[in-house]
Amino acid sequence: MPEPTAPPAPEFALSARALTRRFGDFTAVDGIDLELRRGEIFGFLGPNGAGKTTTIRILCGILTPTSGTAHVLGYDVARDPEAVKRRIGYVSQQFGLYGDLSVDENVRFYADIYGATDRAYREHLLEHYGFKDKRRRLAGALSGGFKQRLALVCALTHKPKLVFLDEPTAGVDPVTRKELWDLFYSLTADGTTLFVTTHYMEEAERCDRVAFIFRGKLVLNDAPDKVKAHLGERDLFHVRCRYDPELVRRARELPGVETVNQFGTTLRLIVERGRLTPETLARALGNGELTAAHVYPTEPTMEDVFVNLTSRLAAEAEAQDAALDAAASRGLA
Amino acid sequence: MKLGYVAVVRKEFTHIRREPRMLSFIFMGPLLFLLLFGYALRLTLENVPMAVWNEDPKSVLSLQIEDRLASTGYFRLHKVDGVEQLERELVDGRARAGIHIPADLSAKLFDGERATVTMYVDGTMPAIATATRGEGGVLGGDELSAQLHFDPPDAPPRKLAKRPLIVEEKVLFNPELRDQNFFLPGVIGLLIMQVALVLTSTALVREREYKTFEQLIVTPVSGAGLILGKITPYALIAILDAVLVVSVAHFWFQVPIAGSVALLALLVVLFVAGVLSLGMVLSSYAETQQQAMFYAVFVLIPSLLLSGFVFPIEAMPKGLQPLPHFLPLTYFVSSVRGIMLKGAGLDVLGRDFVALGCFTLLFVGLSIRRFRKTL
Repeated sequence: MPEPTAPPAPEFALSARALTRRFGDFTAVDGIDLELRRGEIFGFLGPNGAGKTTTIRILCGILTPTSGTAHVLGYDVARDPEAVKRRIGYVSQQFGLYGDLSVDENVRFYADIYGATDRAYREHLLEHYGFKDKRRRLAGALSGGFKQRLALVCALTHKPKLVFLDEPTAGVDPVTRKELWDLFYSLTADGTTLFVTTHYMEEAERCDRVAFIFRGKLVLNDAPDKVKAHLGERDLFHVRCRYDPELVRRARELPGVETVNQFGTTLRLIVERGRLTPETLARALGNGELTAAHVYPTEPTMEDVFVNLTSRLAAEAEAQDAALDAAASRGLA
Repeated sequence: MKLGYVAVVRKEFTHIRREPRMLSFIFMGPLLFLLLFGYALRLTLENVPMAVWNEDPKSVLSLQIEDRLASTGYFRLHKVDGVEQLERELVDGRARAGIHIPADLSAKLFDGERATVTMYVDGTMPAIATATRGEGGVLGGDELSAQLHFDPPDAPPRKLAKRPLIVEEKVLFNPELRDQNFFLPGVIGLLIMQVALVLTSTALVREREYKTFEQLIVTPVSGAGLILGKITPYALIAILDAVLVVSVAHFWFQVPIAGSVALLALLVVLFVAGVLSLGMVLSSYAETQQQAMFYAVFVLIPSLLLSGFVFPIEAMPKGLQPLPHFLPLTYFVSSVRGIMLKGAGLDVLGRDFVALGCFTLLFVGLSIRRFRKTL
């Protein structure tokens, strides 16, 4: 197959326009627009089943979009998926390592598959990622953190300019996660773009930009510190109290309360702006012990935003579905 | 009751129920076997094809010989022309027995002399050869002997020997009727099949079980690259295995290699390729290594029973005789016996070779397509 002539280096490592993928009646990805600048760490978030995996599969060239276009490193994923596959790196939550192969053998296998010829770079990677004295170790015998590092090395031998990291630190302890993120940052220093999916908010905050996908649609796409603004016209209250199911139930039923979330000995409430004050809230929840002194207004975290966004959107979608169902049954009658 | 016994039993039954394919194997398998042994598989032959080269075709006496053979019900006679054609038919399997009636048969018998007929027996399968020789005994039997006494009314007292026919018996290919010569060539095929199928059928599933498959599909590896790359090492192993088995069969068990060793090698390579690619197809359908092994066994056992390895295909009911032709082992068994015992060449085996080649292409194509589909 002749090598397609490389298009001029585009401004964006990845750009997608109205990307859509349907499976029968189900629209898994619904008109997504994305732009990843070179060297950026892009966090892709969303609940399970929201369309994250489908989006990544399209962007990796293993699933064709139903409509819309996506260019990855300048190549059209639908027209030239092989060119895309050759140029990207991919590390999944499952880590495609062969447990009965040694560190060296795993790296060599993936390097050969990608046709990576730069042996010096391979050596450099192994050293930089801490495999100097572990190269003969079987991959299956490595600790979780080192398995992830090895997966990363395997995905990097061909010097990809864009790397997809699909929940790269799932099930990893915080210290190892920090070490992995140090490695991610060192990658971006070389101009590599990272596309990261995660369920960890603390990890999302490490990204340059985060996007949130819900039911196949992008509902938010911004820098982490600006995400909080997306809470919109809402107040956030922090109530100091032990978990009490009765209290939570009562809180949920208060007018204007959208999200109730218990963290240890604090209850976080997201409320429509101006509907409640600490005093009215304390009184409404009132079990006698609770006073306004236990209630503080507070700043939203990213988790607050996402949990609130998800539940609001789910409620809206449900209302919409119900309306459609009602319309349909009226139509039938 | 030990703690948890009931819980484990219930859970196992749930696992079994969740795999309907496995369940159908568990119950269909035994039934299939019973049906095969009950209806299809026989060790004894009827209608053994016998090539008749009658050089004295106008003589009533020669026709009496043919009639007598046909009336046993054991032989199905057809005419051939010349000893070359007769022997060729024995090599390619169109005939399992043959008889040559000489031109001077009636002349000799009229003169009161004894005449010699030659009976050819394919010794490849000793059990059939022995039965064939037994049935051929009618040639020297009382009934035929009586019929062949040509007694004109004014004949002088008979000076003829009691038995007018001298039956010369030629057992071809396996004259000592050694069972090893019959079994071992087929065993080569069976062993190749066992090793190759088990090795490859688990090869793709293993990737799936270890979750490395997902990683592979996002790499630039091509379907052909993956499938052929997976087949090649096992092909080498299976070929080495075949060399080992053929050597032991030949040097230790004295199974002859009457034909060309190069042709035998070509046959082995073709067969290995076919079986390995079949293994890949099975592997692409299986979800677990356990399932893949199960599939492999379910190809192996019908192959063992239906390929003619033990039970002659001609002995199966007519309706089932096409069945063996869907099994690669059938072509291997007939070819390997052809080469090792009968010294058959490509002229005779060409069709078997082509069939094996077609299987390989079909299975490789199918497994590459299956791989693409799983993307």
